[in-house]
Amino acid sequence: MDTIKRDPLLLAAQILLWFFIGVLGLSLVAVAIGTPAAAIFQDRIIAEAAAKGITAGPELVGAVLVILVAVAAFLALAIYFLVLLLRIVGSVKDGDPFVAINAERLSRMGWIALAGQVAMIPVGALLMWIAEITKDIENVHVDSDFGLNLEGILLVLILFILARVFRQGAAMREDLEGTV
Amino acid sequence: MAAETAPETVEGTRIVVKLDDILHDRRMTLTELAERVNLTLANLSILKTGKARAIRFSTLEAICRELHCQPGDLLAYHSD
Repeated sequence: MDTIKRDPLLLAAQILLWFFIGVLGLSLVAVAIGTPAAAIFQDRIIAEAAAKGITAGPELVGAVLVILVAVAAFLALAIYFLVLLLRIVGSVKDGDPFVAINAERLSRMGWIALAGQVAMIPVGALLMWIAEITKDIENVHVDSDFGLNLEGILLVLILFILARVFRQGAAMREDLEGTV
Repeated sequence: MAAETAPETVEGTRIVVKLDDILHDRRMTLTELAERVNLTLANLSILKTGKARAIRFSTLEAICRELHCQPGDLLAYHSD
């Protein structure tokens, strides 16, 4: 049990996860400030877009706002995903990972990953549209790498399978609990 | 003769653990037995109070060795 508590990999994982949570948290704050700002100053955005030759200004603003809200939701879910992972790492450090709550956490992480994959479809379509209408504008480049994300689908599968593994492990551990 | 303590039924089964009786006969405390069989007092208490769900052969062997008894002296099956 002491070996697990002193495992440098677990400590590194906790530090990294906290770092990522911090970075995503700051990003979420920035998006949370930027989204209403974009809504408030949309007339200015439309005017600047028109000056650059973009006629679909109002639609562009609408698309950008939808994307910003989606990004905020993604960031919030990503933070929750990392918090769940952090709690799992904590349980490993405590020497007791095969508990029902970890199976539940992995299942939630699977659903979050799946939601992210599904939500990318409309968001990706919007990004493609923005990339199309801004493609001829100098100094404006919208990267719309939109396509079926096999790594994401694999992650979803792995998380749901791991949830089942941990559920079995928790049941076996409970069986072992009363063994002397 | 000292009053016999009621044997404890293992949780969810009809297996009865008669550790109390044997310890009394051997004039041994639970703590002493725990030290001799290399089991924690907590785990041995779980067995004594009928809360154990399973017992390893290694544990059974160690208890029988220290108490000079047979598994049948320690465990019984009640059909009713």
